[in-house]
Amino acid sequence: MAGEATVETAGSRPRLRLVRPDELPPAVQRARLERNVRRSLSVLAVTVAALTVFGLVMVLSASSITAYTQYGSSFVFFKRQAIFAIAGALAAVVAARIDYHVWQRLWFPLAGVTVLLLAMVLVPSTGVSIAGSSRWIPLGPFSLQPSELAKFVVVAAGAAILTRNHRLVGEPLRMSALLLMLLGGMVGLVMLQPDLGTAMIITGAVFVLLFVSGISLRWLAGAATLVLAGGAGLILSASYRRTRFLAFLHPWSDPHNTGYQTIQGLLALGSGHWFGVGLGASRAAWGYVPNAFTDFIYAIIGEELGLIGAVALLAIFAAMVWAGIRIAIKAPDTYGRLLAAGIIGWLGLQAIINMGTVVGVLPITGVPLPFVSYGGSSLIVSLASVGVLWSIGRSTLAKLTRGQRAARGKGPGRPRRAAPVTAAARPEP
Amino acid sequence: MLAILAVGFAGILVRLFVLQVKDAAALQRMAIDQRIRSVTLPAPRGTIFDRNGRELAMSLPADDVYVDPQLVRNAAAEAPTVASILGLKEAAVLQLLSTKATAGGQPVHFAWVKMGVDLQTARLLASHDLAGIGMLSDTRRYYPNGPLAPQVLGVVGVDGAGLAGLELQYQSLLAGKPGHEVVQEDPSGTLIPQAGATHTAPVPGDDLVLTIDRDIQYRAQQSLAEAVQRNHARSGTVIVMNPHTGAILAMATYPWFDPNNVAASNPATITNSAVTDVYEPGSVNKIVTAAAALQEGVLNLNTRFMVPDQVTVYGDVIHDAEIHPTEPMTLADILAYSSNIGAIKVAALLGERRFFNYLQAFGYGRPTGIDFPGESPGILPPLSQWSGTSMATIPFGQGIAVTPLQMACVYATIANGGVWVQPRLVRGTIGPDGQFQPAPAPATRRVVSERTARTVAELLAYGVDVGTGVQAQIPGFWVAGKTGTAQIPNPKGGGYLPNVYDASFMGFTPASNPQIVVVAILDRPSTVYGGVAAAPLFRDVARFALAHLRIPPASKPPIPPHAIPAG
Repeated sequence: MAGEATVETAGSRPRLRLVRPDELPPAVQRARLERNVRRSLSVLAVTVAALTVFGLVMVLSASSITAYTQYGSSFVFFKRQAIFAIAGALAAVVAARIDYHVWQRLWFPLAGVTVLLLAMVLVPSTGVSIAGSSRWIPLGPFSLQPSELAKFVVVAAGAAILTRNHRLVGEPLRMSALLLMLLGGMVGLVMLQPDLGTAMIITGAVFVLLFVSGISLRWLAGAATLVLAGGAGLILSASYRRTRFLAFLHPWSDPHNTGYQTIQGLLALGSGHWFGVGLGASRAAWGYVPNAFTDFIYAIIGEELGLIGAVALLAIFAAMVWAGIRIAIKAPDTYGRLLAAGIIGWLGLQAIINMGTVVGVLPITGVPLPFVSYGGSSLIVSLASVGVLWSIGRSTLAKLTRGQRAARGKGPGRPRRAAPVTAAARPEP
Repeated sequence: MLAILAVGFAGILVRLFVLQVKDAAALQRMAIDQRIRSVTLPAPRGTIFDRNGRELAMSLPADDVYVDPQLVRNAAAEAPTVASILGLKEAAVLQLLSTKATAGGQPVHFAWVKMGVDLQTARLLASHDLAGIGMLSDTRRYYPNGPLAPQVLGVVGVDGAGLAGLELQYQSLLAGKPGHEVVQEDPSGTLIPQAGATHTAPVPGDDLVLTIDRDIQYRAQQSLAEAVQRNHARSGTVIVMNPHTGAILAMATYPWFDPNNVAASNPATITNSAVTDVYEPGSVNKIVTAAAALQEGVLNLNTRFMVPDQVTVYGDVIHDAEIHPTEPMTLADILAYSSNIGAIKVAALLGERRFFNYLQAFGYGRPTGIDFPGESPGILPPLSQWSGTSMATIPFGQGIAVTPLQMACVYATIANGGVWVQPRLVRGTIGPDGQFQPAPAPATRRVVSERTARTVAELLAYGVDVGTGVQAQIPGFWVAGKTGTAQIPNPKGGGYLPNVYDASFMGFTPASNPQIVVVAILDRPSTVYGGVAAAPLFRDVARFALAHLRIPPASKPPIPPHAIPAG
């Protein structure tokens, strides 16, 4: 096949072109691409579904004792999480069917609403404060956590801004100025709650966007250094914050106070050993591990299902991230690529930060484990975002199909023999 | 970006291996350590029965009331309720409820309010649903007969362990072995069921069967209390003993205390002074003098002594209780009329050493070995320390000190045909298997011959018939006994207290075949003479005991000619 000349059918007259020795025929390439995207979509769907269902099981297991002592029924949190999962699934289906460019067009009003909600949280009359943090807006029997929504909105808006400014890629500051302003506003509002974890994830997702946008790596590294230094300065400036933040490094020096949660997580994980103490048999969930069914659910998973379960969950996340990245790479346009990368970057980062916190290598910042931890806003927004990812993958497929149809239909009449799909007919990378 | 995510996932994976495989055992150990709690399961304390299997001391379920001052919302409002229900002082309860921190600033989460609260009271307290007040299951020592032989049974502390009396003596036997339950708990103390538990069942304590007879003890205490009050005495002691087995059928000391409310009693009344305290016995000691003289053959029953009513020994004037002319007296007369001078003359025939040996043989100066804590050995000065007046006082029971129990054993020796028997309070034990295990046979030793013992018994019986002990007579029974009136040493040292005496009557019945020994002592009665003060007490107790033990009346044999006084 190497060095073979092929007949191009684009345009009205055939043209000859040299084919690289390792180049596959376009039809084969397209088929392979299509297969790849389909496979990525399948993996994404299966992993996210698995995580959500597994999360439901673990929320039941980890919350039943708390639910029973607080409400007299072991199923209170489980039932609510099940409702959230159904709502999230519906949201995902809707998002998957909507053309993702809607987010590109609507980013400004979306960002506006989000900023408004984030501001409302801080107002005592509309926000709910739990354990010193004002993160929730009561909504009938439920409550809304706008910072979860902010994660998606920042990604959607950031992708839109960077797409619009894509021609300014040589001028990093001009290209990203608006995005950085948006980021600064959002992070500022989130930090007022205060919610360091969400601020970190939003910032991380923005850096993923900037990285994928093709911005100068040197500039990106400089910006990252600046942000890290600023963040570190902010955290370490106040001694009480420094103590709490850095407690994970030496939890045993204050095991009953700042080191307590880290230590309890480690004890739970260690108790799991290879195969765990069994589903529903957690001892740590009996009030030892704080936030056992929210931020620290991974500790309970490690205790009940052992190393096997913990690693399996890690592998499912890795597979999900892998599939998401492939969808991003194959995305049909710049906005899709940025949006997909931002979403999967955010979810992957959040998973790593959460699990890293539980295993004691990252500071405790209060980040839920996507799809698994209890929490309606997080679950619904995450599932909807996966729907958006799905729609990006679907549109890649649609474009492939369209290109094929276009290629077939372009020539005057039916070609006499089956002609290979042209490179020109291929969608823009 | 991919690299960052990959590093993140890989890092978590490595860390999981470290935590869940390498350090798993240590972490698991720490996790268990913080959850584990060992609960002591109290072993039921053994019951104490009287000789016929009637409960004298038993353990009942009860509650211990505690307070977590951190949870108390309004100490001033709760304290009066708690205090009135539990019968405590309101100020003390308020102090407990409102002490939220120690002097060192540590928060106080636990303090006992009252232990061993009966279930009914505990339920009443619980019904008030007071914040911070909690209860733990426990047992409570209960004495169903109230103040029945309380000094013998003793007392237990708030922790249920014996502190005095038989409760202390047989602590390890009664206590059993507590069990343990090792459980895992959540931070608020709720049991984690799936964590499992190890259970070591408690071994219940053995039951104790005493030699005490509840009814005789009751009657002894009734009679004693009545006698003490009638004679305006300060205190009193009654011992009823089986002379053949050493079994103590009753041991009463007045005043006593309510064992179900020890806190409210006078601590001095908790002592079982029949065993732990000494006194100078006085004339009741003359039977040792008489028995030794008969056994040694230094006289016979017809030997007559010319007895004045007073003698002077080393400057001290010693006199008989009553003024009488110098008259000839046989040993029977000396005992019957309780002549001190006569006793001195009899002892003089024996000599110091032989007399001392008999005192020792009868058990003076050493503990009887009864199974009771804190027994006093009494005071018998060694021969080397005897002064010139010793042989002029000890023959009639001054200058030595004995416990009432030791005196009971002396009379039991005569009643038992001359063999001293170690006294005891416990007949046997009942183990967890329900089998009765009799106590080992008591130690015995022969002191005088059977013949001597019988002769002394007859002399004592004569004393009851015609002498100082006539008030001890019991219709239908032949009573042998001896009165005693003893001076009381000045506790501040030097001589005796003026005008106060211990009055006693000791003896046994039926004299021909003795079944019970009764010792009755009154401390400082208004009527000083033993015959008047203590003999009726002896009679009341002995008569009841005879009837209760179904001892048939035995008609009096004729008084042998040698026992007839010379007049």
